[in-house]
Amino acid sequence: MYIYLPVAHTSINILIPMALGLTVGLLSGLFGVGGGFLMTPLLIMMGIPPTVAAATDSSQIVGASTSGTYAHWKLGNVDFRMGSVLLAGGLVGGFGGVQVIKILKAMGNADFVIKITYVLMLGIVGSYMLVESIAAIRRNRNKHREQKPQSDSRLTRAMKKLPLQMEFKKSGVTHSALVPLFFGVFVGVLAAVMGVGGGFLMVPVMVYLLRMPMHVVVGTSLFMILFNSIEVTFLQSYTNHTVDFMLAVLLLIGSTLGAQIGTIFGRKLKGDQLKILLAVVVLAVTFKMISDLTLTPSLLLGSTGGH
Amino acid sequence: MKRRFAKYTILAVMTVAMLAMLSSSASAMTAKANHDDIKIGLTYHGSTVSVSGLTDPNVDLIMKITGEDATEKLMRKDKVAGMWMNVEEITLNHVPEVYYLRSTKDPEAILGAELRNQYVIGYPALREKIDLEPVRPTEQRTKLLDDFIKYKKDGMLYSESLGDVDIKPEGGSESYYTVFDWPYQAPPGQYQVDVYAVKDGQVIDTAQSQVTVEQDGAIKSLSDMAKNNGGVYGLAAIGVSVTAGFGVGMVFKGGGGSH
Repeated sequence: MYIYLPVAHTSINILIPMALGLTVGLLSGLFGVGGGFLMTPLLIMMGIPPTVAAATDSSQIVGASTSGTYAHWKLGNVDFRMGSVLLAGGLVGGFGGVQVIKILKAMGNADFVIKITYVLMLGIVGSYMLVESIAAIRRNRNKHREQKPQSDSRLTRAMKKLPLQMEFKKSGVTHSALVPLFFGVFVGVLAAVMGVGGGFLMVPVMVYLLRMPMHVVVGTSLFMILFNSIEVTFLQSYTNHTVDFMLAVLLLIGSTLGAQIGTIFGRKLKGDQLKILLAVVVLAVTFKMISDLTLTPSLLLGSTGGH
Repeated sequence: MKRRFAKYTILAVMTVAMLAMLSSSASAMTAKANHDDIKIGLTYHGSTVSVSGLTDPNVDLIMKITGEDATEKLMRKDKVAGMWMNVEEITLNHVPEVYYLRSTKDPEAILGAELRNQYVIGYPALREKIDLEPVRPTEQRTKLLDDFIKYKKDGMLYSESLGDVDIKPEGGSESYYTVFDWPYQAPPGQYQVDVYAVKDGQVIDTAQSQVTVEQDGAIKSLSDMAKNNGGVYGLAAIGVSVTAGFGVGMVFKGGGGSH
């Protein structure tokens, strides 16, 4: 059955966005990512105008992340304290990132910087997670149980000397509030430059730099994504009028369900297995981007909107 | 005698001219777009527009449906450091949103370039009409506009086809009938239908009609709200999304439930 989308000005088989929502919602519940880096290009491939795809995706992420945050909250996997500090940093960073984009656009090389940043960040994050997680699984298999006390790195020692030390009980870590605030700003800038929610960047930051347990990372990341996507949805509706409510509802039906299924699957997988799966998804997107950048396009013209 | 002859000659010429005018007005071409008010509802997936009318016998017909002229902004891609990037925004003025052309014979075979340009018949004529900013050398301009036309064809907004026009004798004239597939990608708006009768390399007659495409019911309400009440629309979208998220969470109490 086909349905007409009033803002995208296109007609679509209702099963397609529902299936797409289900897939991306599943990733969201499993890994704590919003899935914008996957959903927006897929919507564009389905014939949705880029500006509408990006804006409507954020509306769908509100639903998926509400569903995911709620499911993880019930499991005790959301560190609200850590999430709030990171979120505050992310909002400041997002504002800064928008200014960076304005400057780059004025200089005429915004697209180059955005795409290179995208490929580099995805490539580095995906490769590191894959290598590290495989090594961790091998270590566990070899049953070298006699765990040597891990010596603190220079960075960790420096972080411990910072003022405003806070205990984040749910994550089982103690950091200066300045540390998550700084990383929040860092991811916020990158996310704004790349035009995404930043979940796939925030998850590795929380795992490897803030040393939070993977399951709490997923729940806390979803909590932050919820607030980010609410802000973006409102701004896109108010400023650009590009949120397609009909499409968002169809995506939501799939994604809210997918987020719950993802959470259930996530409980059955170990942290390292989850990281490997996320790394594979991130690397697949990286390779797709590299091929898009290097293969000659069929048309030398493209739309002005989108991420 | 000579005077009388001249008088009769003038009278005869005037009579012939009047008869010719009368006969011309009797067989003047007509055009009607049936299904000329397309409503876009919830389950709209495109439609059809048929164009029919009467014309002189032994003419070729060219039918054109065009949307209103607009300005389009697109990004031009080029290689930077070995990678394909958007490098420049280009502006195309006087671009019809929709351009569908159908003719009984190849327009290039029956009309000269000057007339095709005058009536904007065929893609080469459309290229001539479009104003490109920033201005480019001819070769680059042609390449960019060819790409633009392909871009529109991929989006089902431009098409050219030959044949598929049903022509039958009717009285001293001929009736013609053709059906255009109307894709769902064509946005709401007013569309102009032009029919040209071509004979001996000249356009000997033209006729016009209109097609209106408009949104209806829930689709119209949502579209209007998105345009005119963005804030309320955004809050409603957020409200529905959050409610749906919680709703599904409640349903999954057993599956994703707490420890």
